[in-house]
Amino acid sequence: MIRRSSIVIALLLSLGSAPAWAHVGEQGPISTVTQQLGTREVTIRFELPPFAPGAVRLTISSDAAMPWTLRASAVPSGLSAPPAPMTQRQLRPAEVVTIDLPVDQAGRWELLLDDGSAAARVPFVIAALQLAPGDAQLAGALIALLLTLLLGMVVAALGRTPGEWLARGQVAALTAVVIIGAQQWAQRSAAPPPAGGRPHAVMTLHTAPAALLAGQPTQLQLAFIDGATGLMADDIEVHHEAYVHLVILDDAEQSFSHIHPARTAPGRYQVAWTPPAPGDYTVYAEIVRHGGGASVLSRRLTVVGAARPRTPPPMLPLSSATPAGVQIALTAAPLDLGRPTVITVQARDAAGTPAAIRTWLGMAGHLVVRSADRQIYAHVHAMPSTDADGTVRFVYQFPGPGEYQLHAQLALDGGVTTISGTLAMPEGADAPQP
Amino acid sequence: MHRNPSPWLILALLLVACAAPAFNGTAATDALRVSLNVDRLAVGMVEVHVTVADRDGRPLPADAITLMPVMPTMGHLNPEIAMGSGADVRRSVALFSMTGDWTVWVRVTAAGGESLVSFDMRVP
Repeated sequence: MIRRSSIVIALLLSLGSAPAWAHVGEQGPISTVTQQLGTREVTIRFELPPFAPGAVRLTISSDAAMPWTLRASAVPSGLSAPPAPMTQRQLRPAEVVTIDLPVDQAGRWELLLDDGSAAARVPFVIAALQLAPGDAQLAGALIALLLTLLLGMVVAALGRTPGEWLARGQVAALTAVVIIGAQQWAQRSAAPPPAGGRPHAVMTLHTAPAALLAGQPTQLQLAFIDGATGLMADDIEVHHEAYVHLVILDDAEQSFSHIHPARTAPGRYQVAWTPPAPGDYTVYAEIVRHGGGASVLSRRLTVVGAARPRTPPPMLPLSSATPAGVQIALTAAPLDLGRPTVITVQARDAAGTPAAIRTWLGMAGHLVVRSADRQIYAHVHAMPSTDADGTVRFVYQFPGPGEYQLHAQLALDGGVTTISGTLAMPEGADAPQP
Repeated sequence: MHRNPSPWLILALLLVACAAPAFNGTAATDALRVSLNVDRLAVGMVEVHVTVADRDGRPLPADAITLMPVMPTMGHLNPEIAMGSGADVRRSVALFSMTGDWTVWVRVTAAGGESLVSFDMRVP
């Protein structure tokens, strides 16, 4: 009897180790999303409840320079408007607010955010407790076995002889457990791993207004379309805390923008942008589709307006000061073709003390590299460092000789700052490359 | 003389254990609520049951209901499958052409409008 009970307990415990089914869009109970909402970049930290009903806890911060009004609501995916009035908060610059929004069912949801003019819809998933196929039958067989064993124990404790029916019931239940358990095991062992990857995506870019004028605010409207089916690609995942990292560079390398469009509908994103000067621009969108790697899609824009004198980006090494008086130096070494180059950004305050560098978009720093002929585009992340020395380091192996524009970004106490410069990689004998 | 019931029970359990899993799901839009039942998540002919209701749960006869199976990982988009009309329709259809993760879109034309909902499922 003890041996039989042990088998039952072991089998019951094995039920708990069944792998959970994956949910599309599920990013774990805690995740962070950064998006541009109107004129400000808003960072939303999600804490999802383990089950519904429950509440989604949002911790929202922004880089707003002015007070603003935030409205938020959670709606089941598919509904265009919230069933109840949205939660409204008045936020001061740099204020961090926590909002709890109720969710009453498992499944796909959307967080509706707006500031009175701009709006965003951020999808999230409340996980459902799902049994794998056959789990219910296995649980039923285990319960039947447990009950017949307990009944046998009770009959024995009462000093009576168990009837043949009980023994047959125990054998039947045990057989059922073995059969269903073996079937489950065989099915899971034979099941192929979930297929990964996605077809390529196509990006369309429209602007409103259609004609771009230097200095005039415009809305960039992006749509991502599955390259094989033509359906909207609504499986873009958050990577480095944003759905889309949009980098806009002009051909003259006079301007640099790294912004994060807000998701407005499945596969559709929008962000405000003001072209600083006339000229031709390239818009690079970095995305990661569910189950796929990162990819960069680009589109060209032309901006008209009155031409003005333009200064080429300074050559490295260079240094510049932020409005807050922090001195930032940008250097790179060694400049040997075919070998990794370390690009160093050093931030010091007026007293020469290392400035505090905060994590931004999950990294200590971001570096965009583009070759002068626009053939090479790279987004490099800072090497992890625990040193509080006001320094971030990037490593990149320049693929060929020539000039490259570098745009390094890091978050200081006063906000995100960008330092740009030009690096000249000399001709040289190629070293053996990995 | 006793008849031993165990072989019959074992046979029944074997049949249950070998059966393909089913799918049940409900999705809602601003206008209506759609429930989808697929009797077997398997390649080949399966029985599909679609019910349409308004937001208050009252049956809502649809002018047309169609299914569109998509396999996102493979980039497969199958032609739409007409299910017919009404608030409660059943049909035996070839929904899945291979095993894997599928998204089944259900397009409902009702009350002068068109709604689209989707359901994710895995065909083992």
